Amino acid sequence: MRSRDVIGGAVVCAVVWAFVGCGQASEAPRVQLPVLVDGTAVGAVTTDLGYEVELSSARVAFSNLVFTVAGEVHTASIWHRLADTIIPTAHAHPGHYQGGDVTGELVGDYVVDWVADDGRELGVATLIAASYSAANFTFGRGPAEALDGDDALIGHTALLTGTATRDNHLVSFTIVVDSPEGRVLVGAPFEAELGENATGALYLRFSPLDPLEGDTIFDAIDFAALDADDDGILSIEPGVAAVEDAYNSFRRAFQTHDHYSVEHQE
Amino acid sequence: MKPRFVCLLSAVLFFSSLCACDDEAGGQGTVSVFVYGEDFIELGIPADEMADGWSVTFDRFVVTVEDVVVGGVSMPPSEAIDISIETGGVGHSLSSAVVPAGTHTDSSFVISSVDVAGSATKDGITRTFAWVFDDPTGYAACETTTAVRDGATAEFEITVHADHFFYDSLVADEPAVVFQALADADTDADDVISRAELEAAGIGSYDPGSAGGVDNLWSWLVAQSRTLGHVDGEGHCDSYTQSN
Repeated sequence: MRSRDVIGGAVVCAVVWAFVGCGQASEAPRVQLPVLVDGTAVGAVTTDLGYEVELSSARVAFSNLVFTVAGEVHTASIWHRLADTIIPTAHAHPGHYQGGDVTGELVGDYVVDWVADDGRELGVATLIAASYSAANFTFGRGPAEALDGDDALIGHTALLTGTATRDNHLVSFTIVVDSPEGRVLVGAPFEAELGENATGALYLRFSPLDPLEGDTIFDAIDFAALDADDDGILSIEPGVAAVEDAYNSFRRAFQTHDHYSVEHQE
Repeated sequence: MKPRFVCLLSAVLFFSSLCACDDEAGGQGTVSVFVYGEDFIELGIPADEMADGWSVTFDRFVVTVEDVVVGGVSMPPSEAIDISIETGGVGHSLSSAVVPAGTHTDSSFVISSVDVAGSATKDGITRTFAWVFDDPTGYAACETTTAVRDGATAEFEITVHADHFFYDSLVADEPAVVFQALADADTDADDVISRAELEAAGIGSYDPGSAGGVDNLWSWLVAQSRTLGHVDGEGHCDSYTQSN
Protein backbone atom coordinates (compact mmCIF):
# COMPACT_ATOMS: atom_id res chain seq x y z
CA MET A 1 0.00 0.00 0.00
CA ARG A 2 1.38 3.38 -0.96
CA SER A 3 1.60 6.28 1.48
CA ARG A 4 -1.20 8.15 -0.23
CA ASP A 5 -3.45 5.15 0.22
CA VAL A 6 -2.55 5.07 3.89
CA ILE A 7 -3.52 8.71 4.33
CA GLY A 8 -6.72 8.24 2.38
CA GLY A 9 -7.61 5.18 4.37
CA ALA A 10 -6.83 6.94 7.59
CA VAL A 11 -9.08 9.87 6.71
CA VAL A 12 -11.99 7.62 5.93
CA CYS A 13 -11.36 5.60 9.08
CA ALA A 14 -11.07 8.79 11.11
CA VAL A 15 -14.52 9.80 9.98
CA VAL A 16 -15.73 6.54 11.44
CA TRP A 17 -13.95 7.33 14.69
CA ALA A 18 -15.51 10.77 14.71
CA PHE A 19 -18.97 9.36 14.47
CA VAL A 20 -18.39 6.74 17.09
CA GLY A 21 -16.92 9.38 19.38
CA CYS A 22 -19.89 11.66 18.94
CA GLY A 23 -22.42 8.96 19.56
CA GLN A 24 -23.79 9.30 16.05
CA ALA A 25 -25.32 6.55 13.96
CA SER A 26 -22.21 4.84 12.55
CA GLU A 27 -19.73 5.65 9.82
CA ALA A 28 -20.19 8.46 7.35
CA PRO A 29 -22.13 7.30 4.31
CA ARG A 30 -19.85 6.70 1.38
CA VAL A 31 -20.34 5.85 -2.23
CA GLN A 32 -18.02 4.30 -4.77
CA LEU A 33 -18.38 5.24 -8.41
CA PRO A 34 -16.27 4.44 -11.46
CA VAL A 35 -14.54 7.35 -13.18
CA LEU A 36 -14.60 7.26 -16.97
CA VAL A 37 -12.90 9.37 -19.63
CA ASP A 38 -15.42 11.53 -21.45
CA GLY A 39 -14.22 12.40 -24.93
CA THR A 40 -17.53 13.68 -26.22
CA ALA A 41 -16.51 17.35 -26.02
CA VAL A 42 -13.27 17.28 -28.01
CA GLY A 43 -14.92 18.01 -31.32
CA ALA A 44 -13.93 20.75 -33.75
CA VAL A 45 -14.02 24.32 -32.50
CA THR A 46 -13.73 27.70 -34.19
CA THR A 47 -11.28 30.10 -32.59
CA ASP A 48 -11.48 33.85 -32.16
CA LEU A 49 -9.14 34.19 -35.17
CA GLY A 50 -11.40 32.10 -37.35
CA TYR A 51 -9.49 28.83 -37.37
CA GLU A 52 -11.43 25.60 -37.30
CA VAL A 53 -9.39 23.37 -35.05
CA GLU A 54 -9.83 19.64 -34.86
CA LEU A 55 -7.86 17.46 -32.47
CA SER A 56 -6.52 14.06 -33.45
CA SER A 57 -5.07 13.45 -30.00
CA ALA A 58 -5.22 15.19 -26.64
CA ARG A 59 -2.96 13.36 -24.24
CA VAL A 60 -2.57 14.67 -20.71
CA ALA A 61 -0.64 13.32 -17.72
CA PHE A 62 -2.23 13.97 -14.36
CA SER A 63 -2.72 12.44 -10.96
CA ASN A 64 -5.04 12.30 -7.98
CA LEU A 65 -8.49 13.43 -8.98
CA VAL A 66 -10.27 14.76 -5.91
CA PHE A 67 -13.80 15.99 -5.40
CA THR A 68 -14.86 18.93 -3.26
CA VAL A 69 -17.97 20.24 -1.61
CA ALA A 70 -18.76 23.93 -1.49
CA GLY A 71 -19.89 24.00 2.11
CA GLU A 72 -19.67 21.60 4.96
CA VAL A 73 -20.68 18.03 4.41
CA HIS A 74 -23.36 16.31 6.40
CA THR A 75 -20.77 15.12 8.87
CA ALA A 76 -20.36 18.73 9.98
CA SER A 77 -17.61 20.24 12.05
CA ILE A 78 -15.61 17.24 13.14
CA TRP A 79 -15.22 16.10 9.56
CA HIS A 80 -14.33 19.65 8.61
CA ARG A 81 -11.53 19.62 11.14
CA LEU A 82 -10.31 16.23 10.04
CA ALA A 83 -10.33 17.25 6.40
CA ASP A 84 -8.39 20.38 7.28
CA THR A 85 -5.81 18.19 8.94
CA ILE A 86 -5.04 16.60 5.60
CA ILE A 87 -5.87 19.24 3.02
CA PRO A 88 -6.21 22.93 3.86
CA THR A 89 -9.10 24.91 2.46
CA ALA A 90 -8.90 28.29 0.77
CA HIS A 91 -6.07 30.50 1.85
CA ALA A 92 -4.53 33.72 0.69
CA HIS A 93 -1.39 32.14 -0.57
CA PRO A 94 -0.37 30.52 -3.81
CA GLY A 95 -0.43 26.80 -3.76
CA HIS A 96 -3.33 26.41 -1.44
CA TYR A 97 -6.62 24.90 -2.38
CA GLN A 98 -9.13 27.53 -3.33
CA GLY A 99 -12.19 25.34 -3.36
CA GLY A 100 -14.15 23.58 -0.69
CA ASP A 101 -13.25 20.60 1.40
CA VAL A 102 -12.04 17.47 -0.31
CA THR A 103 -14.41 14.61 0.46
CA GLY A 104 -13.75 12.22 -2.39
CA GLU A 105 -10.83 10.94 -4.37
CA LEU A 106 -9.50 8.78 -7.13
CA VAL A 107 -5.84 8.32 -6.30
CA GLY A 108 -3.33 7.41 -8.98
CA ASP A 109 -1.24 8.57 -11.91
CA TYR A 110 -2.90 8.70 -15.30
CA VAL A 111 -2.18 9.40 -18.94
CA VAL A 112 -5.36 10.04 -20.85
CA ASP A 113 -6.01 10.70 -24.52
CA TRP A 114 -9.36 12.40 -24.61
CA VAL A 115 -9.74 11.54 -28.31
CA ALA A 116 -8.80 7.84 -28.26
CA ASP A 117 -9.77 6.91 -24.71
CA ASP A 118 -13.42 7.92 -24.68
CA GLY A 119 -15.19 5.61 -22.27
CA ARG A 120 -12.05 4.22 -20.66
CA GLU A 121 -12.42 3.54 -16.95
CA LEU A 122 -9.71 5.14 -14.84
CA GLY A 123 -10.72 3.50 -11.59
CA VAL A 124 -13.28 3.63 -8.82
CA ALA A 125 -13.54 6.78 -6.76
CA THR A 126 -14.58 6.84 -3.12
CA LEU A 127 -16.70 9.78 -2.02
CA ILE A 128 -18.54 10.81 1.11
CA ALA A 129 -22.24 11.20 0.35
CA ALA A 130 -22.62 14.94 -0.15
CA SER A 131 -23.46 17.76 -2.49
CA TYR A 132 -20.46 18.26 -4.75
CA SER A 133 -19.39 21.39 -6.54
CA ALA A 134 -15.94 20.91 -8.03
CA ALA A 135 -13.06 18.59 -8.80
CA ASN A 136 -9.31 19.11 -8.69
CA PHE A 137 -6.36 17.20 -10.08
CA THR A 138 -2.62 17.63 -10.34
CA PHE A 139 -0.90 18.02 -13.67
CA GLY A 140 1.92 15.52 -14.05
CA ARG A 141 4.57 14.54 -16.55
CA GLY A 142 4.49 11.61 -18.92
CA PRO A 143 6.21 8.79 -17.01
CA ALA A 144 9.04 7.07 -18.87
CA GLU A 145 8.38 3.81 -17.07
CA ALA A 146 4.81 3.64 -18.34
CA LEU A 147 5.25 4.86 -21.92
CA ASP A 148 7.13 3.63 -24.96
CA GLY A 149 10.71 4.81 -25.07
CA ASP A 150 10.14 7.11 -28.02
CA ASP A 151 6.86 8.53 -26.77
CA ALA A 152 7.00 12.31 -27.14
CA LEU A 153 4.89 12.74 -24.00
CA ILE A 154 7.66 11.48 -21.76
CA GLY A 155 8.70 14.30 -19.46
CA HIS A 156 5.88 16.57 -20.58
CA THR A 157 2.43 17.32 -19.23
CA ALA A 158 0.43 17.28 -22.42
CA LEU A 159 0.78 16.54 -26.09
CA LEU A 160 -1.95 17.65 -28.44
CA THR A 161 -2.04 17.13 -32.19
CA GLY A 162 -4.52 18.21 -34.80
CA THR A 163 -5.25 20.55 -37.65
CA ALA A 164 -6.17 24.22 -37.87
CA THR A 165 -7.87 25.38 -41.04
CA ARG A 166 -8.75 28.87 -42.22
CA ASP A 167 -9.51 30.02 -45.74
CA ASN A 168 -8.70 26.54 -47.08
CA HIS A 169 -5.20 26.78 -45.61
CA LEU A 170 -4.49 23.84 -43.30
CA VAL A 171 -1.79 23.68 -40.67
CA SER A 172 -1.01 20.42 -38.87
CA PHE A 173 0.11 21.25 -35.36
CA THR A 174 1.69 19.67 -32.34
CA ILE A 175 1.47 21.41 -28.99
CA VAL A 176 3.61 20.32 -26.05
CA VAL A 177 2.84 21.65 -22.58
CA ASP A 178 4.98 21.56 -19.46
CA SER A 179 3.12 22.47 -16.30
CA PRO A 180 5.08 23.35 -13.17
CA GLU A 181 5.70 20.44 -10.85
CA GLY A 182 2.78 19.94 -8.54
CA ARG A 183 0.56 22.38 -10.42
CA VAL A 184 -2.97 21.69 -9.29
CA LEU A 185 -5.99 22.42 -11.41
CA VAL A 186 -8.63 23.62 -8.99
CA GLY A 187 -12.33 24.00 -9.48
CA ALA A 188 -13.38 21.96 -12.48
CA PRO A 189 -17.18 22.04 -12.34
CA PHE A 190 -18.73 18.98 -10.72
CA GLU A 191 -22.31 19.64 -9.69
CA ALA A 192 -23.77 16.51 -8.20
CA GLU A 193 -25.88 15.36 -5.29
CA LEU A 194 -24.45 12.01 -4.32
CA GLY A 195 -26.35 9.94 -1.82
CA GLU A 196 -25.04 6.74 -0.36
CA ASN A 197 -27.13 4.80 -2.86
CA ALA A 198 -25.90 6.68 -5.91
CA THR A 199 -25.17 4.57 -8.95
CA GLY A 200 -23.81 5.22 -12.42
CA ALA A 201 -20.43 6.74 -13.11
CA LEU A 202 -18.44 9.96 -13.04
CA TYR A 203 -17.31 11.27 -16.44
CA LEU A 204 -14.13 13.34 -16.61
CA ARG A 205 -14.38 15.68 -19.56
CA PHE A 206 -11.90 17.85 -21.46
CA SER A 207 -13.40 20.45 -23.73
CA PRO A 208 -11.43 22.78 -26.04
CA LEU A 209 -14.49 25.03 -25.99
CA ASP A 210 -15.27 26.82 -22.75
CA PRO A 211 -18.97 26.03 -22.58
CA LEU A 212 -19.71 29.00 -20.35
CA GLU A 213 -17.78 31.82 -21.98
CA GLY A 214 -17.64 30.51 -25.53
CA ASP A 215 -13.92 30.99 -25.99
CA THR A 216 -11.61 28.18 -27.00
CA ILE A 217 -8.34 26.83 -25.70
CA PHE A 218 -6.73 27.80 -29.03
CA ASP A 219 -7.81 31.44 -29.04
CA ALA A 220 -5.13 34.00 -29.95
CA ILE A 221 -3.03 31.42 -31.79
CA ASP A 222 -2.45 32.46 -35.39
CA PHE A 223 -1.46 29.08 -36.74
CA ALA A 224 -0.71 30.23 -40.29
CA ALA A 225 1.40 33.17 -39.18
CA LEU A 226 3.43 30.98 -36.85
CA ASP A 227 4.11 28.49 -39.64
CA ALA A 228 7.00 30.64 -40.82
CA ASP A 229 8.27 28.26 -43.51
CA ASP A 230 4.73 27.71 -44.76
CA ASP A 231 5.14 23.95 -44.90
CA GLY A 232 1.84 23.36 -43.17
CA ILE A 233 3.48 21.92 -40.07
CA LEU A 234 3.71 23.79 -36.78
CA SER A 235 5.15 22.84 -33.44
CA ILE A 236 4.34 24.89 -30.36
CA GLU A 237 6.48 23.90 -27.43
CA PRO A 238 8.24 25.43 -24.45
CA GLY A 239 11.56 27.19 -24.89
CA VAL A 240 11.13 28.22 -28.51
CA ALA A 241 11.22 31.99 -28.86
CA ALA A 242 9.33 32.11 -32.15
CA VAL A 243 6.26 30.52 -30.59
CA GLU A 244 6.69 31.78 -27.04
CA ASP A 245 3.58 33.97 -26.96
CA ALA A 246 1.44 31.24 -28.48
CA TYR A 247 2.82 28.70 -26.03
CA ASN A 248 2.20 30.94 -23.03
CA SER A 249 -1.30 31.72 -24.20
CA PHE A 250 -2.15 28.08 -24.76
CA ARG A 251 -0.64 26.94 -21.48
CA ARG A 252 -2.61 29.51 -19.53
CA ALA A 253 -5.87 28.35 -21.10
CA PHE A 254 -4.93 24.70 -20.75
CA GLN A 255 -4.32 25.15 -17.02
CA THR A 256 -7.63 26.86 -16.23
CA HIS A 257 -10.64 24.98 -14.96
CA ASP A 258 -12.68 26.35 -17.85
CA HIS A 259 -11.89 23.35 -20.03
CA TYR A 260 -12.48 20.48 -17.64
CA SER A 261 -15.51 19.14 -15.86
CA VAL A 262 -16.87 16.07 -14.15
CA GLU A 263 -20.41 14.88 -14.63
CA HIS A 264 -22.33 12.23 -12.75
CA GLN A 265 -24.52 10.10 -14.97
CA GLU A 266 -26.82 7.35 -13.77
CA MET B 1 0.23 -1.94 4.97
CA LYS B 2 -1.46 -3.35 8.03
CA PRO B 3 -5.07 -2.27 8.66
CA ARG B 4 -4.18 -1.93 12.33
CA PHE B 5 -1.70 0.81 11.46
CA VAL B 6 -4.27 2.64 9.38
CA CYS B 7 -6.76 2.63 12.22
CA LEU B 8 -4.08 3.76 14.67
CA LEU B 9 -3.29 6.67 12.38
CA SER B 10 -6.97 7.47 12.13
CA ALA B 11 -7.30 7.48 15.89
CA VAL B 12 -4.45 9.96 16.13
CA LEU B 13 -6.16 12.16 13.57
CA PHE B 14 -9.42 12.00 15.47
CA PHE B 15 -8.05 12.79 18.87
CA SER B 16 -5.87 15.54 17.41
CA SER B 17 -8.99 17.11 15.97
CA LEU B 18 -10.57 17.27 19.38
CA CYS B 19 -7.70 19.44 20.60
CA ALA B 20 -8.45 22.21 18.09
CA CYS B 21 -11.16 23.80 20.21
CA ASP B 22 -10.78 27.26 21.72
CA ASP B 23 -9.85 27.22 25.33
CA GLU B 24 -12.11 29.07 27.73
CA ALA B 25 -10.39 30.84 30.62
CA GLY B 26 -11.46 33.41 33.11
CA GLY B 27 -10.32 37.03 33.26
CA GLN B 28 -8.85 39.20 30.57
CA GLY B 29 -5.56 40.28 29.13
CA THR B 30 -4.12 42.60 26.53
CA VAL B 31 -3.36 41.87 22.89
CA SER B 32 -0.75 44.06 21.22
CA VAL B 33 -0.91 44.08 17.45
CA PHE B 34 2.21 44.52 15.35
CA VAL B 35 2.79 44.84 11.61
CA TYR B 36 6.03 43.41 10.32
CA GLY B 37 7.47 43.24 6.82
CA GLU B 38 10.34 40.95 7.75
CA ASP B 39 13.80 41.36 6.28
CA PHE B 40 12.48 41.34 2.73
CA ILE B 41 10.75 44.68 3.27
CA GLU B 42 13.09 46.22 5.83
CA LEU B 43 16.38 45.20 4.19
CA GLY B 44 15.34 44.14 0.70
CA ILE B 45 15.18 40.93 -1.28
CA PRO B 46 18.68 39.82 -2.21
CA ALA B 47 19.54 38.42 -5.61
CA ASP B 48 20.06 34.95 -4.23
CA GLU B 49 16.42 34.89 -3.16
CA MET B 50 15.30 35.75 -6.69
CA ALA B 51 15.28 33.20 -9.48
CA ASP B 52 16.52 35.59 -12.14
CA GLY B 53 19.30 37.48 -10.39
CA TRP B 54 17.51 40.76 -9.71
CA SER B 55 17.56 42.23 -6.22
CA VAL B 56 14.89 44.50 -4.79
CA THR B 57 14.91 47.17 -2.11
CA PHE B 58 12.04 49.27 -0.82
CA ASP B 59 12.22 53.00 -0.14
CA ARG B 60 8.78 52.89 1.37
CA PHE B 61 6.18 50.25 2.03
CA VAL B 62 3.25 52.01 3.63
CA VAL B 63 0.35 49.81 4.67
CA THR B 64 -2.99 50.87 6.06
CA VAL B 65 -4.42 48.20 8.31
CA GLU B 66 -7.99 48.39 9.54
CA ASP B 67 -10.65 46.35 11.30
CA VAL B 68 -8.28 44.17 13.28
CA VAL B 69 -10.24 41.73 15.41
CA VAL B 70 -8.63 39.37 17.91
CA GLY B 71 -10.59 37.34 20.41
CA GLY B 72 -13.79 38.94 19.23
CA VAL B 73 -12.55 42.41 20.16
CA SER B 74 -12.04 45.14 17.57
CA MET B 75 -8.75 46.96 17.90
CA PRO B 76 -8.75 50.76 17.90
CA PRO B 77 -8.09 52.41 14.51
CA SER B 78 -4.53 53.30 13.63
CA GLU B 79 -2.49 55.34 11.18
CA ALA B 80 -0.80 54.03 8.07
CA ILE B 81 2.65 52.64 8.81
CA ASP B 82 5.79 52.56 6.70
CA ILE B 83 7.01 49.06 7.41
CA SER B 84 10.17 49.52 5.35
CA ILE B 85 11.68 51.27 8.37
CA GLU B 86 13.96 48.84 10.16
CA THR B 87 12.80 47.45 13.48
CA GLY B 88 15.40 44.78 14.09
CA GLY B 89 12.84 42.04 13.89
CA VAL B 90 10.35 43.58 16.26
CA GLY B 91 7.82 44.99 13.80
CA HIS B 92 5.76 48.14 14.11
CA SER B 93 3.24 48.53 16.90
CA LEU B 94 -0.23 49.04 15.48
CA SER B 95 -2.68 48.98 18.37
CA SER B 96 -3.75 47.09 21.44
CA ALA B 97 -6.89 46.21 23.33
CA VAL B 98 -8.14 44.25 26.29
CA VAL B 99 -9.62 40.92 25.30
CA PRO B 100 -11.03 37.96 27.22
CA ALA B 101 -8.45 35.48 28.43
CA GLY B 102 -8.30 32.29 26.42
CA THR B 103 -6.87 30.92 23.21
CA HIS B 104 -8.27 32.80 20.25
CA THR B 105 -8.29 31.49 16.72
CA ASP B 106 -10.77 33.73 14.97
CA SER B 107 -8.57 36.72 14.15
CA SER B 108 -9.13 38.91 11.12
CA PHE B 109 -7.98 42.19 9.60
CA VAL B 110 -8.15 44.33 6.49
CA ILE B 111 -5.24 45.80 4.55
CA SER B 112 -6.96 48.71 2.88
CA SER B 113 -3.99 50.10 0.96
CA VAL B 114 -0.38 49.41 0.11
CA ASP B 115 1.84 52.25 -1.11
CA VAL B 116 5.15 50.81 -2.23
CA ALA B 117 8.20 52.39 -3.83
CA GLY B 118 11.63 50.99 -4.45
CA SER B 119 14.10 49.75 -6.99
CA ALA B 120 15.39 46.57 -8.52
CA THR B 121 18.96 46.03 -9.72
CA LYS B 122 20.75 43.51 -11.87
CA ASP B 123 24.06 43.73 -13.71
CA GLY B 124 24.30 47.48 -13.18
CA ILE B 125 20.80 48.13 -14.45
CA THR B 126 18.29 49.66 -12.06
CA ARG B 127 14.56 50.02 -12.44
CA THR B 128 12.49 52.01 -9.99
CA PHE B 129 8.82 51.71 -9.18
CA ALA B 130 6.16 53.51 -7.17
CA TRP B 131 2.82 51.73 -7.04
CA VAL B 132 -0.31 52.14 -4.95
CA PHE B 133 -2.82 49.36 -4.38
CA ASP B 134 -5.91 50.79 -2.74
CA ASP B 135 -8.38 47.96 -3.17
CA PRO B 136 -9.02 46.75 0.40
CA THR B 137 -8.32 43.10 1.06
CA GLY B 138 -9.78 41.34 4.05
CA TYR B 139 -8.06 38.46 5.79
CA ALA B 140 -10.01 36.08 8.01
CA ALA B 141 -9.86 32.60 9.50
CA CYS B 142 -6.16 33.11 10.00
CA GLU B 143 -4.01 30.14 10.92
CA THR B 144 -2.79 31.19 14.30
CA THR B 145 -3.69 30.93 17.93
CA THR B 146 -3.38 33.92 20.22
CA ALA B 147 -3.12 32.77 23.80
CA VAL B 148 -4.18 35.44 26.27
CA ARG B 149 -3.66 34.87 29.96
CA ASP B 150 -5.44 36.80 32.68
CA GLY B 151 -3.55 40.02 33.39
CA ALA B 152 -0.86 39.35 30.77
CA THR B 153 -0.07 40.76 27.33
CA ALA B 154 -0.04 38.66 24.19
CA GLU B 155 1.14 39.64 20.73
CA PHE B 156 -0.57 39.29 17.39
CA GLU B 157 1.58 39.98 14.34
CA ILE B 158 0.29 40.87 10.90
CA THR B 159 3.12 39.78 8.65
CA VAL B 160 3.42 41.27 5.17
CA HIS B 161 5.13 39.16 2.52
CA ALA B 162 6.56 41.50 -0.11
CA ASP B 163 8.04 38.74 -2.23
CA HIS B 164 4.55 37.78 -3.34
CA PHE B 165 4.61 40.80 -5.65
CA PHE B 166 7.30 39.01 -7.63
CA TYR B 167 5.84 35.52 -7.74
CA ASP B 168 5.47 34.06 -11.22
CA SER B 169 2.33 32.15 -10.30
CA LEU B 170 -0.88 32.75 -8.43
CA VAL B 171 -1.41 29.06 -7.84
CA ALA B 172 1.85 27.12 -7.80
CA ASP B 173 3.05 25.42 -4.64
CA GLU B 174 6.47 26.94 -5.02
CA PRO B 175 6.33 29.92 -7.36
CA ALA B 176 9.56 31.45 -8.56
CA VAL B 177 10.44 34.94 -7.31
CA VAL B 178 11.34 36.95 -10.39
CA PHE B 179 11.54 40.52 -11.63
CA GLN B 180 12.57 40.30 -15.29
CA ALA B 181 9.08 40.62 -16.74
CA LEU B 182 8.44 43.73 -14.66
CA ALA B 183 11.77 45.20 -15.73
CA ASP B 184 10.95 44.51 -19.37
CA ALA B 185 7.71 46.42 -19.00
CA ASP B 186 9.72 49.66 -18.92
CA THR B 187 9.18 50.18 -22.62
CA ASP B 188 10.07 53.87 -22.66
CA ALA B 189 13.44 53.00 -21.13
CA ASP B 190 13.32 55.75 -18.52
CA ASP B 191 14.13 53.15 -15.85
CA VAL B 192 10.81 53.79 -14.15
CA ILE B 193 8.20 51.04 -14.30
CA SER B 194 4.92 52.87 -14.40
CA ARG B 195 1.42 51.57 -13.91
CA ALA B 196 0.59 52.51 -17.51
CA GLU B 197 3.49 50.44 -18.78
CA LEU B 198 2.42 47.50 -16.66
CA GLU B 199 -1.13 47.76 -17.93
CA ALA B 200 0.21 47.58 -21.47
CA ALA B 201 2.33 44.50 -20.82
CA GLY B 202 1.01 40.95 -21.12
CA ILE B 203 1.66 38.45 -18.36
CA GLY B 204 3.78 36.22 -20.59
CA SER B 205 4.66 32.95 -18.89
CA TYR B 206 3.11 33.91 -15.56
CA ASP B 207 0.47 31.47 -14.38
CA PRO B 208 -2.75 33.07 -13.14
CA GLY B 209 -4.54 29.77 -12.67
CA SER B 210 -8.21 30.14 -13.35
CA ALA B 211 -8.38 33.71 -12.12
CA GLY B 212 -10.28 35.83 -14.57
CA GLY B 213 -9.28 39.37 -15.49
CA VAL B 214 -5.59 38.91 -14.85
CA ASP B 215 -4.33 39.70 -18.32
CA ASN B 216 -1.67 42.37 -17.85
CA LEU B 217 1.13 42.96 -15.38
CA TRP B 218 -0.72 45.63 -13.43
CA SER B 219 -3.69 43.34 -12.84
CA TRP B 220 -1.14 40.67 -11.96
CA LEU B 221 0.36 42.87 -9.23
CA VAL B 222 -3.10 43.75 -7.98
CA ALA B 223 -3.92 40.04 -7.70
CA GLN B 224 -0.65 39.37 -5.88
CA SER B 225 -1.25 42.34 -3.56
CA ARG B 226 -4.27 40.44 -2.24
CA THR B 227 -2.01 37.69 -0.95
CA LEU B 228 0.43 39.79 1.08
CA GLY B 229 -1.26 39.44 4.45
CA HIS B 230 -0.24 36.69 6.86
CA VAL B 231 -0.17 36.27 10.62
CA ASP B 232 2.62 35.50 13.02
CA GLY B 233 5.09 34.84 10.24
CA GLU B 234 3.84 32.15 7.93
CA GLY B 235 0.25 31.77 9.13
CA HIS B 236 -2.18 31.96 6.24
CA CYS B 237 -5.63 33.48 6.11
CA ASP B 238 -8.61 33.30 3.84
CA SER B 239 -8.65 36.49 1.81
CA TYR B 240 -11.52 38.36 0.26
CA THR B 241 -12.16 41.63 -1.49
CA GLN B 242 -15.27 43.75 -1.73
CA SER B 243 -15.89 42.20 -5.13
CA ASN B 244 -16.04 38.64 -3.76
